[in-house]
Amino acid sequence: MSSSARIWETARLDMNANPVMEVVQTTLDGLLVGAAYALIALGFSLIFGVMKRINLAYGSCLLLGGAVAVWLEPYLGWGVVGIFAATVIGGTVASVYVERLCFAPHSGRRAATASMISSFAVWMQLDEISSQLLPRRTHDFPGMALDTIEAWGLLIRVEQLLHLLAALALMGGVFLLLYKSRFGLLLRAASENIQTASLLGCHTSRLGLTAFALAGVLGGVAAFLILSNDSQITPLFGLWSTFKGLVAMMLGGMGSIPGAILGGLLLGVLEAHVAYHFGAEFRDIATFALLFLILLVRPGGLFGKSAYRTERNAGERL
Amino acid sequence: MLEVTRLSTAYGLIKALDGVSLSAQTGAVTCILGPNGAGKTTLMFSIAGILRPEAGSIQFDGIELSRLDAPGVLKHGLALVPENRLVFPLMSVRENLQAGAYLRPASTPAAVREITEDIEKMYARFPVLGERAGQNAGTLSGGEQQMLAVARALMSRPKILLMDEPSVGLSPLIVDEIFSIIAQLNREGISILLVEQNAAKALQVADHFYLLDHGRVAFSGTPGEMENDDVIQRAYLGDRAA
Repeated sequence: MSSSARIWETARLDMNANPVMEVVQTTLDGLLVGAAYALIALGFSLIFGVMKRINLAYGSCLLLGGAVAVWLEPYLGWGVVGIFAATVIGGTVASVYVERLCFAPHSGRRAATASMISSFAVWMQLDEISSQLLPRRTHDFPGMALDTIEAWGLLIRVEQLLHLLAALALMGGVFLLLYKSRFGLLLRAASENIQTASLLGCHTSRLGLTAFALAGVLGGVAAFLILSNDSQITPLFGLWSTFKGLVAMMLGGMGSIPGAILGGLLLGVLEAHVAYHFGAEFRDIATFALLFLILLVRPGGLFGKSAYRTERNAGERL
Repeated sequence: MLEVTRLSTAYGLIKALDGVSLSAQTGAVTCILGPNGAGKTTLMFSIAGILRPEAGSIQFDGIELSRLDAPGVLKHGLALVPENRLVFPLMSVRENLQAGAYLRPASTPAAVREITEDIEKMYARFPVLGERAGQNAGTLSGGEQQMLAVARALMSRPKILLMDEPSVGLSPLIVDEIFSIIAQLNREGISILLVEQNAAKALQVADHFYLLDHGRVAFSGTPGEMENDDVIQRAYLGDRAA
């Protein structure tokens, strides 16, 4: 999981004097990373909510988006804007490709296994394409290279702050779409019972495609935020994002939208604190300890009790 | 008029419907009776476009429905109230009703207002839904969920309402209420195709009925004819002599 290593190299003031500020600074650092986790978890959750299936190739879609962007950069020469656009478009196209290939053709009882295994195969395929585009171990990923500012005794990288705001705006947008629009109403209905939703006029195959496209956009933005924060892209990024996104989603509750956001932020803050107090090597240990605890105490995740019940209701039919 | 001709539907090798023919007259309550496993729900799913029939035709006012998917069937004015209600438990009562109007246009303020007015009409028809408009549908009782499922289907303004076992799992008092709702809807001009196991109740509201057994129509007639046929009575509906 070395891909994220540099994300933690946040400059710090000498904070020996003030333990409170220390906690605040670490929490803030964690929120900045957690926002990107939350976006990835949202993508996973959208797909799981509608399809009740896991897309293992999701992280690789993000990697491919980033790889395409870096590969295209010398030809386009549009700078950060081009990189951003190419990452999002690349991620979205890859996500739609996965849907058409691994999810749309399968339905019925064996669909979950068929989709999971075929998305595993496509994961390898997408990772390989990315490696062909970017053959070296690491490649630079341009960021905005903005300064660090100091405010209220905290060090804030302007870039990270912008990222956090962008992530929050995107989450707000997804929330509005899901809870204030007709399309969102139907998407939520379909995630509760897709057959009944089709009785009310929902074209389920179109809905699946839309969910994947939306997840691709969210993932593309998340990939840009993380990669430009790291200033580098490695072939491990796909696995790393699948892993972080799945853990964040499971923490919050499978398929739950508020759960994905909370799970992502929580994971980010936890990792920041553990890395700060015990060292970066303990980060993933803490992540899995937390996941283990949550699965033990609340198997459905933080917001998952209801999601679990939905699953059962959906299962009662046919 | 809904006209089903020689309809066959299979799950893999198991033939659930084997050449079923029936018709439901406009403005009437048509009832399909039959024991468990007779193919009643399969028939409803085939008509509603959830299952694709192997052979036969389904025509509604002259339009062939058997090749359409569920949204396509709904567009032609047939709405299914599924067995076990299947309301969306984590969405509010109001959102459930809004979901029922999904296929109706909502691009102009007038169209949106019309949908809102229809929701108000549902609250007037089923006051309990109005009282619980903001509550999650999963918190409603079985009878209330059945009313919500009917109201949700009505939100699409169907010409014919397909109801799959609306009385299942409800207490006798609520069952009476559900059947009086069915009779009321029919008086208002909505045609109804009703699948039921509760034959006694169903025959009180039905104009015409079909008896389905092992995927075939075993008997059809009017409730009066049923009363007089001892064999049918005993074979399919239990002894009602008492």
